[in-house]
Amino acid sequence: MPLPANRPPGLLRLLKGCGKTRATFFYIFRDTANLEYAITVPCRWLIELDASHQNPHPTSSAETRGTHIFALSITSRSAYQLPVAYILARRFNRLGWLGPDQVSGFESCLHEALINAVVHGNLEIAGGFNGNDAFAAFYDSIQSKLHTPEYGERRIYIILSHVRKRLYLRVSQSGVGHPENRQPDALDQQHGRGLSIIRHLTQGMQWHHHGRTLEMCFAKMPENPLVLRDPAP
Amino acid sequence: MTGRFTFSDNQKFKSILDMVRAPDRPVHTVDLDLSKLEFVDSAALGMLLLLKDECATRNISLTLLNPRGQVEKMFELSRFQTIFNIVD
Repeated sequence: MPLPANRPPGLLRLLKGCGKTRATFFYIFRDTANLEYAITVPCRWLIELDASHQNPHPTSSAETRGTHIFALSITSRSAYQLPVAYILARRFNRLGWLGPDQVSGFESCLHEALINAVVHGNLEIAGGFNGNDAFAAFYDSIQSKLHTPEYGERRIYIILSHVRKRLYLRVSQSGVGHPENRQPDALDQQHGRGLSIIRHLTQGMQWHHHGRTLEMCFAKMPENPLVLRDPAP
Repeated sequence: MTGRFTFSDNQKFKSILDMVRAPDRPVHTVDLDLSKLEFVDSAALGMLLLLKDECATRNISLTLLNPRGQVEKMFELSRFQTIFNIVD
């Protein structure tokens, strides 16, 4: 059934029994036009509806370690087209979870992990480009698959949790898994540099779920090691 | 270049490549001012390597000027100082 045309950008839903010590709010929204607004909503769980109006639970594909503090479930198309990493890194900084000097590194890692998950995972496009002809073909292939519902609406999950003095960021996809034992490529290649950058900018990275989830570890904001402000309304 | 240079900017980058390749207006030097560029990703670094190869093929001098902040950090991680002519 189609959603009413005059519906608000998103729906705030309280799912009873989802939280252990307090109610958990889910903010559910539709299409990329509302994503930039939705990401600013002070809610722990953000879920983008896809064309079939399904709203899969953001943790349905990946258990996490420690205490959840944020989860986002979006389509591949939104993850590719919108500045998700830019917005989230600044949101986490405002909430006191990341220090000012951590923002750009966190943004770089989340951005690289998202692009890797969308292009090589959900869109199933192998490798990258070497040379100008391959460059054009590579990007044509991405655009083509992004607009194919079978690929473009596959889910991307971003989950942030914390354990003691560390933040764990997980990016999961539902397509082809990355070879878990593959070493990051050399930094001076024309492609394949993203995982090397993540390795350099994090305290550690690890593959889970047959290469469909990449977990990255960051230090919690050093000036405020024990307090995490809760974004729930 | 200003703002962000990322994976999704491939069309804008292609226009730079087209300028370098234009047979009717031969280019001898390319200087990219990066002082107002705030963010690059791994794909952008790959595109710069592609531009370097294109310039080398055509005997064009390529210089990257004034990388700052995150851009400078990414260049360091990728050892771009050993690959490009970078001027502060």
